[in-house]
Amino acid sequence: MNDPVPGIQAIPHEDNLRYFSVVIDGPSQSPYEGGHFKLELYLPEEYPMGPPKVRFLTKIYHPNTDKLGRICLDILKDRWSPALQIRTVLLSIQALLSAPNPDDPLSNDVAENWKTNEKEAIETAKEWTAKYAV
Amino acid sequence: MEEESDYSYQSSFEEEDLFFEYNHDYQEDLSPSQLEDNSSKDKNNIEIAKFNVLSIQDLIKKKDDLVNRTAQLLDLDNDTTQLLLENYRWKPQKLLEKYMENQEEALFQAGIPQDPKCSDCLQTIPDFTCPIMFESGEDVKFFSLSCNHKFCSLCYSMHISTKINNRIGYRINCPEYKCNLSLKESQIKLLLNDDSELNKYIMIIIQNYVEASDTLTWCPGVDCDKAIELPSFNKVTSRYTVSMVTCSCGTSFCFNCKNQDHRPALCQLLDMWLQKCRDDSETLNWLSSNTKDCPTCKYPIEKNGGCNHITCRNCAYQFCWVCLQDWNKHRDNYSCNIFVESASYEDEELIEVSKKNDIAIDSRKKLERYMFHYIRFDNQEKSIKLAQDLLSRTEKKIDTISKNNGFSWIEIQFLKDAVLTLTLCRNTLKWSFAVSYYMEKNNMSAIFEDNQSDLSCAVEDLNELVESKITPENIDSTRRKILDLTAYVSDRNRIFLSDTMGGYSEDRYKFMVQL
Repeated sequence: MNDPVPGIQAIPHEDNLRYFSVVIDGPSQSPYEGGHFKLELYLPEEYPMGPPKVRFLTKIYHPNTDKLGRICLDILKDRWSPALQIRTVLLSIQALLSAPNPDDPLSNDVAENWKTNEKEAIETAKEWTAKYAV
Repeated sequence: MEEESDYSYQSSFEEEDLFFEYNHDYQEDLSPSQLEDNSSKDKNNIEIAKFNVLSIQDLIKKKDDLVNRTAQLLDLDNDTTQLLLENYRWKPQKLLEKYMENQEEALFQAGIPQDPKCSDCLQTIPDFTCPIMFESGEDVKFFSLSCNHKFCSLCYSMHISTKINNRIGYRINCPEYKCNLSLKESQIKLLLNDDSELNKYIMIIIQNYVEASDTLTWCPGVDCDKAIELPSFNKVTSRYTVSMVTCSCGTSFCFNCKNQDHRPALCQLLDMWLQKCRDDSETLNWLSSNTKDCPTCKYPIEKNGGCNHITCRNCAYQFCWVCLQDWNKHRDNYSCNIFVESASYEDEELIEVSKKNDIAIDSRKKLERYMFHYIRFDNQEKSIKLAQDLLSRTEKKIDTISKNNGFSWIEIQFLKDAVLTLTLCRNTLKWSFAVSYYMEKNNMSAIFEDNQSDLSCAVEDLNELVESKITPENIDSTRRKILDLTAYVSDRNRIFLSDTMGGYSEDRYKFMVQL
């Protein structure tokens, strides 16, 4: 709606304007660099009073996402504010890619790996990015 | 108001209203609904603590009272005080402590601005666009708290109703991301233009208030919106008493655990017992329907095929599956036609054999102990269910007797009274078996069991008498008998209950479990 954000693309579906196809580019200097991550974003009836529903469609190795691509992010849950917008939500997700938070995990095994062996975890994340997101 | 003098709030805050004593002037302005059902004796004729039945209106009034008094103490307006109280789970002492300790922190935590600028009004702002749904123009009104985050009235009201309908807590904040400021009730009233939504909000507050209070609880009755207030209730004493209350809708329940009357069992015993029944009764059912005990060593045996000639794997005793007699007594094998005379197989030497199998017997004993109590518990429960049937049969009986014999209807009511007393006493008996299951054997438990069996015998006698045939010839003597026995039974019941409850508070009983 405003100026496009570099590395983020959100296009509404023609037959359902509440449904967006989103692509977020992996932030540079993160294990996701070079990847293009597809997400779906849906604006429920409550929006903007309730948060949009967002989920990764591309497989991603990240402690705050789960196998189904669901995302653990405070503003998508209880910290949602109607003053936030799709733009801010997607920026937050991009920021989450730059700074994974293994202390508040959605995938326990990934988070565990991230905490005990960060190097290996980052390697796996890179591999997954190369395998699924390019 | 005089309660300021009581405002020496000690650090203990077990009672919600330590400094708001339930004084007499409070009783005076009770609405009628609060006063009904305020009897100090219950159906079992046992002294019970006073309680009040409160309607939603009464609760709102009570909450407002609390807000009012606290507001006076804090020297704040009611609106702000309500937010503070909500934030401290409606515990005025806790709020006072924190507030005296650190006023700024207490206000901040509750989302109350320190320097309240007057912003409680809707205003038009030229050239301003609402950041949520981008409304602008001359007919758009904006509102902001003292954080100065401005949003249009439409967005504000949608924000508030979404929060109310999703029941996300009692607290409704400024819509701005990470803004901690909270909306007061008057502001919510101003911004919501829908009365039904506002009522929902008030209900959330009341719900919160009731749930936070130790001395208030909702009536669990179907479609009942009353709350019960039991001023004398506290969590400590509830460990050795059962506080029965009765709502104006007729629902009678335990104030602490909300179950139906389970005296003489304490809430904790009830919990453990029901849990045990859930865990064990299936095993028990299977065992009792699929196994028989070896007549000598009591080892449970499952017959999953083969003939009736059983050799116990445990003690090698050979017996017949059908009659449980010694196999040697069966002359023509494979057909059992020996009449079982009970205890005939208890030969002394066979009992000797059984002593060898201590471990098996021990676990079996535990099960038997449980079964003993469970069967009696279950039996009373079933009898209570049958009592409904008995009641309608009795009513029919009353009808016929009064029609055929010219007795007035009122003269026959003793039958119905007897049935009601029976039901009440059976309930006592039922739960008493849960208690005796956990009770350790000593002199006190002997008294308990004596009381239990006295009541049990009397109940069965009365039951028999009630179901006996009543003819014009014997009606006078039967009536006298039933009246006497009913009085006796309800007396036994009262004594049993009050003695047991007294036993708890005097710590007379020892239990096999930690209470």
